[in-house]
Amino acid sequence: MFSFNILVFVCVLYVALLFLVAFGAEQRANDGKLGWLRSPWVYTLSLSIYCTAWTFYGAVGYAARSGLEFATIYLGPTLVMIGWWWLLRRLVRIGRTQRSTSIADLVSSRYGKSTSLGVLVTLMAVVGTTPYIALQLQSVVLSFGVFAAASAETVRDLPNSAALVAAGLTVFTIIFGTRNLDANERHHGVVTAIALEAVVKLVALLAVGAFVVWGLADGIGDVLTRINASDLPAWQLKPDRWTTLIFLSAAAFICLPRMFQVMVVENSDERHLATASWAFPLYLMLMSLFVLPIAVVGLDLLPEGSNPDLFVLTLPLEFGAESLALLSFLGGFSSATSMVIVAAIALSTMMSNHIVLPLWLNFRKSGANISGDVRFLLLTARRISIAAILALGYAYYRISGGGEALAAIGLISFTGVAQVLPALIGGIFWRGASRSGAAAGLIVGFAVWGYTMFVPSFGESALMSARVLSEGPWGIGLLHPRALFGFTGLDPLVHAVFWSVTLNLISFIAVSLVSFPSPIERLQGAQFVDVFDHSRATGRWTGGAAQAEDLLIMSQRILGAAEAQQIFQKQANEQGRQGYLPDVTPEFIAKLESALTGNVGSATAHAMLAQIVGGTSVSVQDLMAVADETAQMLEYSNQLEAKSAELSMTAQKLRDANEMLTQISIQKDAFLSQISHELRTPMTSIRAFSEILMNSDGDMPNEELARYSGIIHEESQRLTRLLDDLLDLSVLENGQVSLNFAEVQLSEVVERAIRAVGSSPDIARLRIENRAAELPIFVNTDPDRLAQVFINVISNAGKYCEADMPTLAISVSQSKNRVQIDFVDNGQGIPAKSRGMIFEKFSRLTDQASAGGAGLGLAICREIMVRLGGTIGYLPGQGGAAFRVTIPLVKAKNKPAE
Amino acid sequence: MKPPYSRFLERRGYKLRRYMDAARLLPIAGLILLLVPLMLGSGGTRSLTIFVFVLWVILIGAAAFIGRVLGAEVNRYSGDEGED
Repeated sequence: MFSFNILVFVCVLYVALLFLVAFGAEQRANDGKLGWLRSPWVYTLSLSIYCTAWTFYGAVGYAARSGLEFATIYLGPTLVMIGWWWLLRRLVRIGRTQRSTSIADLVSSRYGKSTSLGVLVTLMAVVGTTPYIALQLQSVVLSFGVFAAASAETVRDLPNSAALVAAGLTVFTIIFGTRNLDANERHHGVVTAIALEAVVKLVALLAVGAFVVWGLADGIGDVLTRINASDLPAWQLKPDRWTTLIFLSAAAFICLPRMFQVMVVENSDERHLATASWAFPLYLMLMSLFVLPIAVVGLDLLPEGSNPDLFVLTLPLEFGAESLALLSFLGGFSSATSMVIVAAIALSTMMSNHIVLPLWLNFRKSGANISGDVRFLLLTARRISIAAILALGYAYYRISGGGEALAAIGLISFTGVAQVLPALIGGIFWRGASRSGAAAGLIVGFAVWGYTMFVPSFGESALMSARVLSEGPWGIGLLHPRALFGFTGLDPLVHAVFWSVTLNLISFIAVSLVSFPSPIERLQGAQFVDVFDHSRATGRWTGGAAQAEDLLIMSQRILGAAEAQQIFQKQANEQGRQGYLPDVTPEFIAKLESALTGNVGSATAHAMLAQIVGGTSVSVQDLMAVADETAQMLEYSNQLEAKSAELSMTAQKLRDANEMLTQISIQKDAFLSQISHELRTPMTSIRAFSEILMNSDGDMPNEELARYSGIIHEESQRLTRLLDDLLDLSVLENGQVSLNFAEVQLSEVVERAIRAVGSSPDIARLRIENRAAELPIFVNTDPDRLAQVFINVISNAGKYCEADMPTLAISVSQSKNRVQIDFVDNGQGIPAKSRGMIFEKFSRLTDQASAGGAGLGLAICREIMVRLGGTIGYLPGQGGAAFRVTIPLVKAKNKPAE
Repeated sequence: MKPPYSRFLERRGYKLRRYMDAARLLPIAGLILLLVPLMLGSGGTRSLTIFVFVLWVILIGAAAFIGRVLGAEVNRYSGDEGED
C-alpha cells in the first residue's frame, strides 16, 4: 500500500503532464501546425467533459440505488448527438456565423443583442454551475479520503486538499484559458488537455470494469446472474422518472455552459459533428457499460454500509489492485478537473462580457471616448472571474459541509440550466420568439426551479422553514413547493422539472405571442432561423459621425494594436486609400462589430460601437431585404431576364437600322446617278435646242422657234420642279416651314386634292371612290400642306397601280382622338421588304423614269405629317397598296362653331 | 441563397435527401424505442439492461452509417430544402 504522499506526488505529476500537453498543443498551434489538433477525434473527446466526477464515481452509486435509471443521464445526450442534423448542426452554424462567445451571448444576440438577457442567462449559469463545481471538489476530497483511510494515515488537513485543488485549477485555467481574448479563437491547449483526460477517465473506468467482471466476478454471465439476484424493488423502472430524466439530460446537454463552450465555441469544423454524432454516443455507452456490474459486485462483495459512490475506488483497493486503484483515482481526478476548467472558462467569458463590461461601459458613459486599456481590463475581468467562480465553488462546498446534500446537486443543476432550453430552441426555430417572451420564460422557469427544487434541496429549515416545506407558504396547500397546484402524486424531481419547464414554456410562448419585437430582434430572428439560407452581418449602421480614428483607438484597446491596425488597413486598401483610416461605411462598421463580438460578446460590441457611431437603424427595408432574400434573388433574375430581352430587342432594332442604312446608302448611290441623269436629260435638251436657236441665224420658221422654245421652257420647268422638291424637303426637315393652321372639313381637303390631280394624264385612267364625305369631320390643320400629301398619295396610285382597272378607294375613320384617312388601290401593293424604304428620300421602287418624280414625294409627305402632328404609313394587308394618313384630333375643335 | 427550385433530383441528390430524412428520424425512433420498456412492464433489470445496451449499439451504428455520408456534405448541402 502506497502512502498518501505518493498519491499526492502522482497527482502533481499528472497535473504537470497536463500542463505540458496543453503547452505543447499551444506551441503547435502557434507554429501553425494544427494537424491532429483539429481532428474530429479531439473534438469528440473534448465533449466528454459532460462526464464529470459525478459520472465517474456517482453513476455507480446511482446504479446501486436505482438500477438502470442511471443510464438515462447518457441516453438523453445520445439522442441529441444522433439527431445532430436537426439541432446541433444548426446551433454550431449559428454560433459560428454570429461569433457567439457563450450560450448567454447566443441568447442575447438572438433577442436583439439584449444586455439584460445576457445578464439573466449568466446569472442562471453561475447559480446552476457553482454547486456543480463544489460537487467536483467534494469528489476529489472523498477520493483522497479513501486512500487516506486505506493507508491508515491520519491526514490532518483533508478538507484543505479541496482548496489546493481549487487553487491549482485556477492557475491552470487562467494560464491556458485566457491566453487570447477572442473567445472564438480555439483554446487548443485546454482542449487537448481535456481530450487526454477524456482518454484517461474512459480507460480507467473500463479497466476497473474489466477487473470487476473478469477478476472479481466470473465473466458476463455471472454478472448478469448477480444483477438478477440483486434486483431490488428500488430498481423497478419508474416510467415518469425514466422519461423525465431522458428529457432532462438531453436538455442539459444542450444548455450547459461548458457543453456549449466545447461543442459550439471550440468547434473548428462543422464536419466534426458528423463524427461526434456516433463517436460520442459510443464514448457514453462505454462509460456506462460497466457501471451496473461494478455496482452489483460492489454491493455483493463490499461490507454493508460502504458508500456505493466510491465503489470504483474501493473495489480495487479492497482486493489488492493498487495500481488499478491509482488509475481509477486519476480517472476521477480527470473527470473533476476537466469539468471545472471548461466550466470556469465558459462562465468567466460570460461574466466578463455580460456583467463586468456592460457595468464598466455604463460607468464611463460620461466620457465620449473610451479610454484605458479595455483589453487589459477584459483579461483581468476574466481572470478574476475564474478565480471567483472557483472560490464560489469552494465556498459552497465548505458551507454545505460536503455532505449527502451535494450528491443530489447534479440533477438540480441540470434542471436549472435546462430553463434556457425554451428560449434557445424557440429562438433558433421560431421567428416569433421575442425578447420579452424569452425573459418571461427564463425568469418564470428559474423562479419555479428555485422554489420547487433548489431552495428545498438545502434541507429543512435551511433556507425554507419546515412548515413551508410541509404545508406550503402561509398554509396555502396549492403553493406547496413539492406539490404545486395540488399535484401531490409526482416524484419530487419529476414535479420540479414538469412545473418549471411547463410554466417556462407557457410564459415564453404566451408573452412572445402578445409582444411585438423591435426591428433588430426581428432581423436577428430571421438570421437565426434561416441561418442556412443566408448568413450575413445584421444591423445597418447609420450616421457617419464616427471618426475612423476614434474607432481605431477603441478597436486597438480591445483587439490589440496589431490586429486592429490590420483590419483598418485592409479596409482602407479595399477602399483604395493609403494608410490606416478607411471611410466609415456601414459595411465597415458591421465588419468591425463582428470582430469585436468575438472578443466581448454581441451586446457589448454593439453597445460600444453605438457609443461612438451613434446608433444603428434597422429599417423596414432591411427586414424585408432579409426576409425576402429569396424573392429578391428571383426578382433580380427576372430583372436580368427583362434586361437581356431588352438588349436583344435593341440589338434587333440596331440590325434593322443598319439594314436600312445600307439600303439607303445603296439607294443614295443609285439616286445620285439617277439625279445626275434626271438633271442631265433636261439640261441636254435645253443645251441642244438653245444651240439650234443660237445657230439658226434668224432663218428659222416661227412655229419651229416656238416649239423649240417651248421644249426649253418645259425642260427648265422640270428642272425647277426637281429643285423645288429638294428645297421643300430641306426646308421641312430643318423645321423652317411655316404652317397656316385652320379649321377645315376633311372631305373638302380630299376633294381639293382629287381636283388638283384630276388634270394630270396619269390619273385619267384611275377611278377614285371617294367616301371621305361619309364622315363629316373638322380638323385643325394646314389644309394646303395636307392637300399636298393627299395629292402625292393619289398621284402615286395613278402612276404605280398596275391593275387593268385601277381603282383607288379613299375612306375616313375616326378613332379615339385621331382621324385616319386610308388610300387603298387594287394594284399589287408594295413588297414587304421595300415597305421600310418607301418613305426615305431618293427612294424609288421602279426605274420608271416616266414616273417623273425624283423619289422625294413620300419623303416630303412624311415630313409634312410630322410637322402637322400626324403620321403617314403603309397599311399592309389591304389587297393593294394602301397608305394611312393619321391626323390628331383636337377635341375642343371637333365641332365647328355653329 | 437557395438553389433554384427543382422538383426532381438526380439519383445521388435523391439518395442524399433520404439520408437527411433518416438522420432526422433517428433520434425520434431512438426515443420511441427507449420508451418501449415502459409499455412492456417490468421484465427485470437484467433484460432491461440487455435491451438498452443492444439498442444503444444499434443507434450508434446507424448514426455512424448516416454520419459518414452526411459528414462530407455538411458544408455543401447546408439548406433545409424540402423538395425532392
